[in-house]
Amino acid sequence: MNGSHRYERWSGRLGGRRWVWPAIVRVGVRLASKRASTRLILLASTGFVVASCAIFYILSILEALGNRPEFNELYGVVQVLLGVDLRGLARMGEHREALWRMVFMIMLKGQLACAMVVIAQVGPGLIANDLRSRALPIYFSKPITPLTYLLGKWAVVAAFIGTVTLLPNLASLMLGTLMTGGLGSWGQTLGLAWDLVVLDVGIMIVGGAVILTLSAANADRRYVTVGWLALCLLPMVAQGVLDDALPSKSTQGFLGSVSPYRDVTVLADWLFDMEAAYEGMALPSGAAKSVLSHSVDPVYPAVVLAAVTLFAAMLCYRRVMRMSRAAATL
Amino acid sequence: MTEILHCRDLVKQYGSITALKGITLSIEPGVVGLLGPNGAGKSTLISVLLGQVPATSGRARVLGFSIRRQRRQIRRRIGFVPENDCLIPGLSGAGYVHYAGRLAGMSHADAMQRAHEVLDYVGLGEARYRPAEQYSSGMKQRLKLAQALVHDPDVLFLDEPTNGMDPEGRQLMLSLITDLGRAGISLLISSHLLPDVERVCQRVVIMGNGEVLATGDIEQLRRPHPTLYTVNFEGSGEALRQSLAKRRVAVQSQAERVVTVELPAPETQTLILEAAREAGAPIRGLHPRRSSLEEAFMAAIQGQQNR
Amino acid sequence: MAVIELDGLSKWYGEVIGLNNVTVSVGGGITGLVGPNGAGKSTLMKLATGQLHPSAGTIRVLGRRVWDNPSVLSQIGYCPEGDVFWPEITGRRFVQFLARLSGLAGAAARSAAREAIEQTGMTEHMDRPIRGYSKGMRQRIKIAQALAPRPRLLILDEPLAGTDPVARHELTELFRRLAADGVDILISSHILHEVEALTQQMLMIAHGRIVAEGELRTVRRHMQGRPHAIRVVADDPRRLAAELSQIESVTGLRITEPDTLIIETTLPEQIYDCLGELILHDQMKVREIAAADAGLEAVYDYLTRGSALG
Repeated sequence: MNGSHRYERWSGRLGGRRWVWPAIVRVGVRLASKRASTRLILLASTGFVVASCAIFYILSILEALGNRPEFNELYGVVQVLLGVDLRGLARMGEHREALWRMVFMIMLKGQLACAMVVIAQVGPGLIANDLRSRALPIYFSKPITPLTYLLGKWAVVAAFIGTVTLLPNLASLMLGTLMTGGLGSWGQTLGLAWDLVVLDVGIMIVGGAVILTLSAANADRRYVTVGWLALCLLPMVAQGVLDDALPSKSTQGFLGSVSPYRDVTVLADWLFDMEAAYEGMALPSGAAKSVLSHSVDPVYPAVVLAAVTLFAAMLCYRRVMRMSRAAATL
Repeated sequence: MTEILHCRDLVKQYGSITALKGITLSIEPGVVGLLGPNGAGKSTLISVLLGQVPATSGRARVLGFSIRRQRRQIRRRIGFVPENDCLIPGLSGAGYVHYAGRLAGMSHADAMQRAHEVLDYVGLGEARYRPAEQYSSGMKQRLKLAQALVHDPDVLFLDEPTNGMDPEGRQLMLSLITDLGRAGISLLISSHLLPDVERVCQRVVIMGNGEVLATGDIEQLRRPHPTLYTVNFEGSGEALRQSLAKRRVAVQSQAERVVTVELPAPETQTLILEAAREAGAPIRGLHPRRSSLEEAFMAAIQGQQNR
Repeated sequence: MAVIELDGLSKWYGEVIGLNNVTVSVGGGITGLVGPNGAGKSTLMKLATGQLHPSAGTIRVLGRRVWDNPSVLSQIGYCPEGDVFWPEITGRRFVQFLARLSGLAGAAARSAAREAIEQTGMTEHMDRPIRGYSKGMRQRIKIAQALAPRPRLLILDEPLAGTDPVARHELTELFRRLAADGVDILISSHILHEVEALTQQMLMIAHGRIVAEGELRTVRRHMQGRPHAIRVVADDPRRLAAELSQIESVTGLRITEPDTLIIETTLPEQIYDCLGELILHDQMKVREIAAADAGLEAVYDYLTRGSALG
């Protein structure tokens, strides 16, 4: 049991800073993946891929069919029964891109819910556990900067958010293109891919910054979890109240940007240029309104989210700086 | 010989409390004990030297690097064994030490090899694959030592390394520390357990109330007194006393079966043995008085209080 | 008069054995309880303070059963291991409250608390919340709550852990004074030299069994199969070794330093006498003669290691 031999010195080299934060990410991801419920959600997010691809496939079939006059009568019947203008839909071959974007927008709502849950599972412990188990002196007696520490921790939660948002989206796009011939031109496909990346990375940044700040605020991750869920859900309730109570003119500015869910969806709509898409498809105005979110000027949500993110990032950084200094006496 | 540590008028204030009141200290390579009552500033001094807490004023260099501007270089060359558990829940012992190596900047392969080497050294065998939370307190201490050694530092700071360990664990820890000292690593050990410090350290620094009260060589402290001796005996204390007095050996104090005496001159211990034979009080022990670290410590603290 | 009596006492937790068929009698004065981690020290103390019920056998403290017996419990002061506080209340309130739990009424509790706090040197800090206390201060306030009801028996589980040398010195003096005043103390500690400085009465425990009890010297003497080691520091150890090698009871001679000789013998008293004669006869210069392994640390080592090997 006793170490019997003498101490041996080591003659290797220590690398630069760039090697360190991947180690933090790796350990963080490994520890967070141990929870069965987390793995379940990650698995469930493949549902987005399945759903999207199924819809893409159905749309492509409808397009193909729609060009055949034999089905005109069928369409007439469906129109009377369901009120859906299938012929109109079938003509939308030229609007395939807009339709695909719409699909992603619909998926977005589910993904935001998944992301909220995943963040609630993975995020709170990130810094809070280090606080509670007093692991900070170990981190900050090593040659790392507080920035490295934060970046590593952020990357852990970002990885999980990405797995339920970005990964399914890009997979859907790729598989959908393979299955149905895609959007027609590389430019369109890459454009859509780029918009997806921007949207999802944006979610990772905002969500990650907020949860990290909360996690750094309290050593008990259960309080952080409650705080996070409260921060996500209560503003939605508040927004609902405001929408009902105030005339619609007043809720097009900041008062309409209280709910983070709304902020993200409004900005997504703007990013994906959904308004133009709907106009192009000449959908009846009622349909457009129901799919398009509440008409808020996207500038306001952008300002709100940017402010929240910057504020959170600043708070978090300062808190970690302070923790790194007080580390030895914790 | 380059010193490992050098401070000049180091001051640290927390609001209205001055934790360090102008420390000027220079430490040569070796094993050094840092002693002091609670609140003396030992932990603060270590945090400042590690660059974890910025000093209010004054200068300090560790291994030649400035604590203000070259903190990362300092941390590359030093290891820190903290007092608290400081584990990362969910990691095994091996995972933990490997992680520490990566944090120190080692590559994945280097960290893996070195982690296992160091775990062998501290004597954590199969246990290294078990979750670290399940370790006994002795094993946790050794694990912390391992994570501090993984990147082969030149200096180790240890905060209460034998705290709460049972005697066997303490022996093991102290023998590891002694071996590290022999291997050329310098160690700065902050501890309340004076006998442990006496055993492994070559020098001590005694702090009190934010100041350095005394520094000294352990050897110097423990030098045997030339003429004061403690004698254990069996039999009649009175008879022994008289025989000693006949030989001009002064009796300082007497308890049951133990007497402390002063010899008339150095190297005249045989007088005691003669007296014992004459008095029919067989000797069971003969020890020269040695200052203990405890006495020096108390004297230093008293000295400060009397000021 | 036995203060704590155990008779065939066993305690197990599911499959894990805490104490195994222990029969021992702890007398008055200060008794040191030593043993490796997990040996059963805390179990024994919890049994003696009525916190645990024996799985088999009996335990009597101050002559009476302890379980569910407030009249005995109010005469025992217990200082447990670890952090056992409500961090928000002040030290003074903490001690007062626990004094009242021991049966003291309002004013008596308050004055007893004050006195106990003063005895442990915490008067300066008593009105601050425990949350702000250092480790050593927490230990002292724990000891204060044990002292407040002026118990006849003190059971202290690692009372000096984490205290600085100054506080340790003061507390050791306090224990000595209390013992001189007639309080019996059972103190468990890992810091062997401190236990040894306080008392020569030992209770050594390993793997749930008693491996030694009684006065340290007697224990050492009765350790069969362990030759005693005597250290001699002299100018010419080799000459001494040569002379001693003739003696039958000498089983080993080792020169560990240029001036140090370790003699292993089955009859230490004989060797001491021989040493005296030899030194005087040959007029050798000798600076130290000491038992090298009769101290608590050595005895502990022998007994607990041996115990592990069964």
